[in-house]
Amino acid sequence: MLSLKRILLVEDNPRDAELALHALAAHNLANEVLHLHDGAEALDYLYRRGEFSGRVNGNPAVVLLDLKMPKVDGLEVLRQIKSEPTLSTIPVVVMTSSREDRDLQAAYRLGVNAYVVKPMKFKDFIDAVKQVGAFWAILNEAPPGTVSRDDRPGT
Amino acid sequence: MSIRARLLLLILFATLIPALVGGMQFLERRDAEIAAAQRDLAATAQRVARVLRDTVRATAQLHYGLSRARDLDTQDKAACSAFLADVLKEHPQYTGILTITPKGDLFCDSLRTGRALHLTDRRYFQQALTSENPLAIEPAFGRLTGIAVLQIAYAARGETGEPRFVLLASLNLEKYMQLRATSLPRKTAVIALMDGKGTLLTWHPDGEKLRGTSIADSPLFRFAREPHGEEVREDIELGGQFRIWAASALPEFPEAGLHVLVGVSKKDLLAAANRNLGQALSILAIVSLLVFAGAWALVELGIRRQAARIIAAVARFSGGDFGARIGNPYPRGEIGDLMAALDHAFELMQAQRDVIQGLNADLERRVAERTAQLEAANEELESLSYSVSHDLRAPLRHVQGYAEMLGEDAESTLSPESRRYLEVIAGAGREMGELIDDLLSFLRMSRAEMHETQVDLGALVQNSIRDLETSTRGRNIGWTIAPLPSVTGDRAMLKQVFANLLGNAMKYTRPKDPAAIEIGCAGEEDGRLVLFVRDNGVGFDMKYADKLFGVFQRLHRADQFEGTGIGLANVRRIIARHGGRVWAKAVPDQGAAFYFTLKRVKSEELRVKSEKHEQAV
Repeated sequence: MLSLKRILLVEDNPRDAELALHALAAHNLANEVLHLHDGAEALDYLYRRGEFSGRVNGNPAVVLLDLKMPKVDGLEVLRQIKSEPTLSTIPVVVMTSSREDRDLQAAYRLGVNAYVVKPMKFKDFIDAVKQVGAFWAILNEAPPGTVSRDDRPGT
Repeated sequence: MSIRARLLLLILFATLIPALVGGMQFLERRDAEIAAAQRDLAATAQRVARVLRDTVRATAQLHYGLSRARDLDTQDKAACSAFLADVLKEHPQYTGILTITPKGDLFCDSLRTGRALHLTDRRYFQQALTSENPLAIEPAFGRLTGIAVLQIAYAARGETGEPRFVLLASLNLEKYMQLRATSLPRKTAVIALMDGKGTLLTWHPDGEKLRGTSIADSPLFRFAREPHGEEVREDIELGGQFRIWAASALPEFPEAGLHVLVGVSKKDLLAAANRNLGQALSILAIVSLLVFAGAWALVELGIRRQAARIIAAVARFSGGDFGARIGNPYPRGEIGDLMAALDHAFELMQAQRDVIQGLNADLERRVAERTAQLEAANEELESLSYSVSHDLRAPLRHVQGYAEMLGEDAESTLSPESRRYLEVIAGAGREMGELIDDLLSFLRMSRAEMHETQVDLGALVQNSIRDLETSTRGRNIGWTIAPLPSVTGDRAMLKQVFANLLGNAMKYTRPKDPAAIEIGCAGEEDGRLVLFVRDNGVGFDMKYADKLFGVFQRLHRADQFEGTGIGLANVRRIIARHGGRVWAKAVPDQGAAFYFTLKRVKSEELRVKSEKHEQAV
């Protein structure tokens, strides 16, 4: 059985993913993270298709979404999440390298919940990811139908 | 007024005036005809009177001849009567011819009735015998027949002048005048003979009833006796009918008082003239109509319709149908020439239009090509800056990130030298990040849309200085700010210009105490305001001035003055996008001045603004 994770990190760059996981580990959130490598994988996971067809019910508490990815890009993933009634309540946080006006506009138009530009300074970056993770996975009250903290394996 | 209406009026006048003149002439002719008819009437009366006089004279000649005839110089009554009967046979106009003795007894008688008549009381007898003129005439009515005769008496005298006998011939006036009536000018005309007392002797035609009646109390009688120079007199009623009358007397025989009267119905006389007038007017009307129709056809076909052709072609042409032509120049002459000239002009215009169209199409094609090229270039630039912002940043972040993680992990085992290497790696990454950020902001600014408004430079400068407050804290800076006008431009971009220039001024005056920074307006250049920012900072060598505004170009070492060298490139780009130029003047260690030009707000806009301001105050 595929494990249920509260944080879905969609990031094609393994180094960014590693840095993000490094940051989340500070709040003991690293075990809560499922790292997927592109948009297609993310959609398969959310829609329970392909290799994820056997996944149990429950949506992640937050999706941390990179924009520039091969195959299906972040904006398309965002569009499909927000247009599907069973998925549209999932909080989606865009985490991207650059603040481009058109990306920002498109993301908010599609209903993004937060838009974070990855800071250049390592320390700032770590802080930002920590804060995002802590806010959405711990502080924020997730919508109904979300995997709860007690559901996670090992507790 | 349309050409059709004008031409119609013209033709109408052209045909109406001759028609009116013709009509007037016809009316005059009618009057003349009436006058001629009246004259004719008078002439008829005179002619008949003259003929009657001649007849009387001829009778006198007959009498003269008879008085010399030996057949009458006899006492043989039967023989002389037979002789006179023979004479009468030759002269049937007389009812009888006879001789009367000086004593008044009937002697020879052409009728040979043998009657005995005593005629001394007859006026003609007495007059013939007593007057110097042997001829005497007297109208009378036959006692048995009742018809009028004219007694023409002649006294025959001997050599000593003693009367021998009186010859009498009775002219049958009834027959005589009936004969005259056949030659009257009109069918409705009547002819009458009147004696001196106003008794009608004859009346033709159909005058039995009036014969012997008196018209002495009729205006006709008075007119006949005293015409007062008039030829005719109108509107005299006689026998229940109004007529125009002419009268002629026989002045040679005043004692008889004979008058020939000729009358004609006025209606008849006028009717004839009117009939003639009517015919003439009808012909005139038909001719006028034909002339009108002919002229109209000529005008319609030759002018109006051709003008309509021209107008239609011009309208089509100016309506965008450039193939429109008048075609077949008709009629010859000016209109045809005009048509040919217009068609020629159309031809030329169409040809020119084709050329222009060709040029336009070429131009449009070229503009489209250029636009496409430009768009492609823009797109490339866009995707370049997009990938710069994403793809160049990520590895930088990773360089820094992993360097720091390495530093954290191996902090205790690294030598100070190795730790410095790690710091250099992190610092280099940071620096490159700043360079990328500056480059991106420069590219973004180059692409951004401009929103031109009226910008108050004074307020903008104050704003920019306030934004720099954190970096001026603790510094001794003397600001000199001249009153600045309003300009036309993009507020955000102009703000960046001042932020960069004032930032530079502050940065490069850092070694000076006090620093002096001056902002002002240095007049105009090509209708644009020249503004400047001057400082007393470190300045630069003018031989490097051309490098000053390039991207990432620096004239100072990074360890002296921080910065990436993007600020002045931004300034030049913004001023260029506003249509102006920027230049610098500097002396090393004494200071630098940066000049730039901006569009002044039109005085009209300024005036409106100041009025609003006054109202607000």
